[in-house]
Amino acid sequence: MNQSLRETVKRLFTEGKVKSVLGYREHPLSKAVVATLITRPEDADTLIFDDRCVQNLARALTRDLPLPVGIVVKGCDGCAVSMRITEGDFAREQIVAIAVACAGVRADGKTLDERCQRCEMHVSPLADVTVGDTSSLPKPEKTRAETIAKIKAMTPAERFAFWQKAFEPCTHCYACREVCPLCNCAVCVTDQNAPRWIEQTAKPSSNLMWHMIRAFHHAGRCVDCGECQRACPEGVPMHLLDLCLAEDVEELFDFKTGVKQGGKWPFLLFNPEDPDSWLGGPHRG
Amino acid sequence: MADGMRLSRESLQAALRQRGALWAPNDAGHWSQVEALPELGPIRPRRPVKDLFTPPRREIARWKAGAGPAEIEPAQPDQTPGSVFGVRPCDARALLLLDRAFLQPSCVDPHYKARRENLLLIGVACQPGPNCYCGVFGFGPDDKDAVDVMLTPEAGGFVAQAGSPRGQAFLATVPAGAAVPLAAPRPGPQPEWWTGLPDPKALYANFDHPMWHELGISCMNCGVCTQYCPTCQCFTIDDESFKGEIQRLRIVDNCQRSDFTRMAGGHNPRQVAASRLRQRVLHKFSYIPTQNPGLLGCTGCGRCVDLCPLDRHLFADVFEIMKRINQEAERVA
Repeated sequence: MNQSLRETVKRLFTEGKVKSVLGYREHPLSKAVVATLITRPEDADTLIFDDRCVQNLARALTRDLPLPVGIVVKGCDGCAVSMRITEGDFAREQIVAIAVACAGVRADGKTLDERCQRCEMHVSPLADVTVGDTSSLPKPEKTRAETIAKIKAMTPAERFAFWQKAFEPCTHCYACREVCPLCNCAVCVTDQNAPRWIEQTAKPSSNLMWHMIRAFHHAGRCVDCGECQRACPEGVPMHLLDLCLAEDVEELFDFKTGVKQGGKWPFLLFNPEDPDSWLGGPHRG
Repeated sequence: MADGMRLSRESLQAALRQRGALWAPNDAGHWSQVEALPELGPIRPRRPVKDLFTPPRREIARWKAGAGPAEIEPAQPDQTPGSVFGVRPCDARALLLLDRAFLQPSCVDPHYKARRENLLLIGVACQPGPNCYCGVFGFGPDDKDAVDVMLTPEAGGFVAQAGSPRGQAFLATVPAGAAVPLAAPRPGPQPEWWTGLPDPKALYANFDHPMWHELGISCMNCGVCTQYCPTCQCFTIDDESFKGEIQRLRIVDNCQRSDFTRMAGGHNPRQVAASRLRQRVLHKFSYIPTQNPGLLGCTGCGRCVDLCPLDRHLFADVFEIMKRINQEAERVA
């Protein structure tokens, strides 16, 4: 895998298809896998891909990188890049997606991440080149519906109590925002102070407000990379909320985020036929 | 070799309760008030002990909203006497640095001062974790220099030694057990590749080095490292209102956030992510040791390494930076 990844990246440089590449490298001292940006073909020899490449590099895509930028993407990462192109963050030709065959990652170095156990997207649907053997990737061990079943089974009151408790340890560090490839607002709602939408300190009201807004902003956009939850230093299970909303959006709008370019896109599309049961309209129930 | 004093858990707890309230890390690793001495994990808790001295959210004053001049009620410093049990040497050493910020004679923080004066620091020697590096800073897991009492756990209790005159006075109130000879202080762990602390001046001399931008890509400036850092002390002021009552708060802030240095007019001297990462490294390893000889901005607790969502390693970064600076200096020479 590493050898063919490195050769592919060198070729992209020599053919003039990329000016930089975002990828993973093993830190020579700490041995941890960290993000790296290379701008010369000879540096491709530092690139790696294996099950320690847990982070979603799409969070590091910015327009001030030397473009076109190549980016090493797992399945979920590729969906996020695709979404950012759909949303107009980048022109299609500014991005070269280097899709790697991903059998799932292991953040703890041992067990397959929970997010990977339900993965149906081992190879990025956005792929300019593909690296690795895509023929023998694992089948999902469980479904999203199973993951959120316990939330769906709760009464509204139980659900409210569950989330209040779940958000309690939140310290408003916003690591979940920084790590999210689709948190791309120019100024985050929580950084605005005129008006102040969300109070800056951790307490039940502001915790709820932050996590509600975060989740709503990701409805129909979240690609289930699960980075928010992995990044949280206090283990807040906020990604469950994203999954619940993803299920609703798929059901109501027949839209699966990032899988194909364009298409019906609930967040930016106005349609008089939109389901509006929440307004008490004719689609109620 | 000085002697230590053998203490049973029960007699220590009784003496601490006699003294006042008791704080310790809870199961989630947050500092909270407790009734009894808890069992501690092997290493430092998730949150640094600074939370008790300069908490993430603290009221400064409150007033009622309405017409006419507001009657401002300043918050009173908490003078509750008591003790903090389970302080690790890395966290205690960090308080020495916070003292420089909050007890400087020209501008004393009365809340911090009250806590420092009223709370006895009861250290407990730890078993360092894989990312603990106190050895880099010349002390070890049973260092007593920054606590009032250092305890080394043993079956049924502890061996205690005083770290300060205040700790000595406290130990005199505990029913004495047998005196036991103290083992030599344990050396602290350091990375196997570590060769020594960087030269603060050489680091600053490379302020404009392109490597900061290369490192910048591996960091997303989430600031988790600063929020769990025992020495980070930056704060901001904010108001919150609830049902017509307004609270003025001092709340935690951090240099990794993009708005940390943003001016009212929109200018931002640390516009790009790499400049904020550089600020963190230079503050800890260059500015603080330059301005406060003998002190460093880091105590090697390793929480930033443990908790970094992107698996960055502060020491590995600092080491790589210094290696490059040295190599380039050699090439020039």
